Amino acid sequence: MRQKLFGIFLFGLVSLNYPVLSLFSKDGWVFQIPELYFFLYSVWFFLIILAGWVIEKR
Amino acid sequence: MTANLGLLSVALAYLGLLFGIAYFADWRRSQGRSLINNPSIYALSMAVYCTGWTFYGSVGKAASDGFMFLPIYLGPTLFAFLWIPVLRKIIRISKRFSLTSIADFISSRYGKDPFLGGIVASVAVLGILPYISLQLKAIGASFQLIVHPSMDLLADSLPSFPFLQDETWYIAIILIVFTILFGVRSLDSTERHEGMVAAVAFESIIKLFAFLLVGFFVVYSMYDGVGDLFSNAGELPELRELWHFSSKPGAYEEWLLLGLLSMLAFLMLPRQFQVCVVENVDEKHVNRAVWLFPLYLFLINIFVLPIALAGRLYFADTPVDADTFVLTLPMNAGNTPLAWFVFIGGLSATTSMIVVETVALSTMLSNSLIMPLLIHTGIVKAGEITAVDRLLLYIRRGSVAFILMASYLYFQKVIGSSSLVSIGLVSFLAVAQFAPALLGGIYWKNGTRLGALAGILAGWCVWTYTLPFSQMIETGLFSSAIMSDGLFNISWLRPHQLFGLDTMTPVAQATFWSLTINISCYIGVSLFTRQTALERGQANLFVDELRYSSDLQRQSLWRGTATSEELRSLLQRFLGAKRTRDVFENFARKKGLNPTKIWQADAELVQYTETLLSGAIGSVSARIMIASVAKEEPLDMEEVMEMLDATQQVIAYSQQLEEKSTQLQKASAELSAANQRLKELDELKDEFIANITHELRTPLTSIRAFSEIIHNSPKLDYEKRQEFLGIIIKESERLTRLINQILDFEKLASGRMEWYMGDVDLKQLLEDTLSSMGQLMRDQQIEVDLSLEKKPMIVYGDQDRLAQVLMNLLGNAIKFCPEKEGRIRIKLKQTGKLAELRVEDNGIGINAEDQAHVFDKFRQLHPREGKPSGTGLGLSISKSIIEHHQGTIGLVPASGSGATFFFTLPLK
Repeated sequence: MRQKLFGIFLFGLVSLNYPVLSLFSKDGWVFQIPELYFFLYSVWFFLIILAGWVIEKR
Repeated sequence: MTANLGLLSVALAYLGLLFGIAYFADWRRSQGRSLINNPSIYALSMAVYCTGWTFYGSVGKAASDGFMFLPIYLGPTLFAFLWIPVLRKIIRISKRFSLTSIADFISSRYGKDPFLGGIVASVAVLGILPYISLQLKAIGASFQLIVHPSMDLLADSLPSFPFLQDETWYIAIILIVFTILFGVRSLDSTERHEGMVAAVAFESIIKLFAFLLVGFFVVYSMYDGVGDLFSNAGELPELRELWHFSSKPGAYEEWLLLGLLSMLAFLMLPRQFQVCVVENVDEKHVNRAVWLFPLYLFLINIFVLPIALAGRLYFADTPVDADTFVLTLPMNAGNTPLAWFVFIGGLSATTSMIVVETVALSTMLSNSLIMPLLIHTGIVKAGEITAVDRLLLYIRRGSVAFILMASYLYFQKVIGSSSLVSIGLVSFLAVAQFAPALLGGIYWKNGTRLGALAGILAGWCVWTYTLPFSQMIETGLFSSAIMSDGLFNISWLRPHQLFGLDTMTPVAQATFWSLTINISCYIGVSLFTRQTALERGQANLFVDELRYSSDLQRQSLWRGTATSEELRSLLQRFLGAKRTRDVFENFARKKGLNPTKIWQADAELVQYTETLLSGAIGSVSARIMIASVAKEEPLDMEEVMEMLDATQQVIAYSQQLEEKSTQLQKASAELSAANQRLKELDELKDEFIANITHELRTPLTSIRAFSEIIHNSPKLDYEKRQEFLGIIIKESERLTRLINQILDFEKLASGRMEWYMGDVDLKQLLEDTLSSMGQLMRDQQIEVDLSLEKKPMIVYGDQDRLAQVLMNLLGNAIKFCPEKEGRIRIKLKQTGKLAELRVEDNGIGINAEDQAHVFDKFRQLHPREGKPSGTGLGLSISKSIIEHHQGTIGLVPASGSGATFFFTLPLK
């Protein structure tokens, strides 16, 4: 479990920083929401769901 | 004036409700049914992280810098995924040593050093003051906005209004009373405040709910959904910029550094340490918080950007402070009930922070700064009998008042119009200076007291110079030339471009320099200084906290003499008579001692008393107090290491013992199994020899008998003689066969049989065998019914051995067939990937109890004449041969008369 959570930590660290973020900093829309806004919050939510699943499934 | 009174009474009623919850939780605790013994409530109480900064300030930050408000929440989110190793370790250590604050934790780790603890407490108090001021500003401004709606346009300059000063002053007074009632009502050696935590968890729900409500109101009532809001904002280029990453230089570095800063600061904030560590009921609650707390942060941040955009659109031409959008948007849209509810939400966010933070800081001040000072200066004398518990309580309450008053002054004199987020970050960076010493201290044994001291002081100096000092310059306390030309005109000493670093924002570069210098000093000085004996011992206990179980640990690191009475009177001064009596009676009962007598205290009792004391007055003071009564003999490094080693050795030894005993158990089980098997083999051997000799004797007897007849009767006629000689030859052949079989069997059993493997056509082999046995069958007039597959049946095997099996099966069938009417059916066919051969006779069959044993060694079946004529090894050998070929051999369960044997072999 610790290793999985550490993996989630690393994934979050990379995906929520430069240069990945710069890919979404442009005039695009997803479901009428600006791309960067959508990306930040969906990755964030995904990390939480993943961590919750890893912890609570046992 | 009516609005003023109305709002005030709503606010006071809300505070009353919080008291109700707190009292209820305390009552439940006294009943033994703790309300907060629940992982979700633990996670909610952690949300005290979200203060007025989050509630009002995030929108303000987002309105000018877009997503730059977010790293403050992403950092703790990522950090949360590491809590199971990190936070749980801190909780375990704190519980074992009764550590109740960060200052206590750090000073205890570095040899219970009073000076280090005092420094940490001072830095924490100085660093957190701006943060509490921020909350005062948020409450004051929100109150002001609702009571004097016309002022909202001038929100920027609110703090300078004279009547506001008065109102914030009263708010500060109310909060002092509130905090004392909540957190410093009485002394508790564990420093746990269940009522406070329950109220904080409740406030967390309220503030989240209020913020989400504003979000929904703005997005779905003022605008037609998220899409509508964004498309409206998208028409203005300056608003469109807000959902792009800032194009300012250093934006990505700032993003990373702020995330890192909030990650480090999270646990170092006194209030977070209080709710996460000190108030923790069960270490396992951390697991739920790992995802529930980030989820809370996610929800409370989801509407920040939409509200900021709506605010910028709505107040495009009026200078309204963006920090107040959460309140001014519903107010100006005419939704007064919502505005009042938002005010309550903001009140929740700010008061929960102020209460918990002030309680944590007052513990720190009294235990790590004031108490050691009082002892050091001799005001509280170690050897005296006077009670100190009341004094301690007054020190705590005084600390609360002092902290809130100082925050109020800071709010009045320094903060001015700085935004909420920028004030908060100053405090974050101050407490982040503890992170290297604390986190390093629980993972690195060689971190020394001087290293920790150097790191914290150096980091603190950089922090002071780059942030609060420059703020003071901006408010005019110092010459503004320092900002542009640097201190003493040294250009690389400009506070916001320290060492010439001019590509980052002030907070980002302060973070970078202070933490880099802090960590370098901590590691560098640690590597070049030596630890004292006590430090070394504590370092071991902290880093390997799991290895020293609490019972063994009690015996270590202390040597001296004291009586129970001395310890009792010491404890009584700090905990009061009743609690002390309870504690001692409990202890005596556990150890089987008479509580009314005075006995010589052992290391365990001393350790126990010290732990209780450190809960009340901090580990440093507790140590001094204990040392004063316990006539302690100083330990040197070698002795400490010996004690630790001894503890470790005992544990290692018991682990080894356990391992050995399981190994022994296994070995003895194996031995007894082997013994059992040997016994069986021995029995088999006896049986074997008995059988063999019996089998060999039968032909030998007849050979001998007939030879004697021939020898002794020279007149025997020719025909008789021929007949007898024929019997002798037959019996000799039988003897040879027997010996061959025994040799075969021995080879098979011992694995020395040589196999000549190759392709064998079973069909061909069967035909050959039948033709070699044809004469025998014809002699006995046996009818053979043969059914074969048309194609050859190739298997991989030893031709001679397989022929042996066929002969054995056919021979048996012939043997058991009735004379004259014998009939044998032989069937060879392919089933799946197997070749299957069946041999069926119409003999007497095999009765049920014999069926299970036909393949056993020396199992003789009785043919028609009732006299066995084989060795009893044939089928056993066949079985071994077939099994060697990965085949199966067996008996088809009796169907009518006769017996049917079969074997299968894998086809090539």
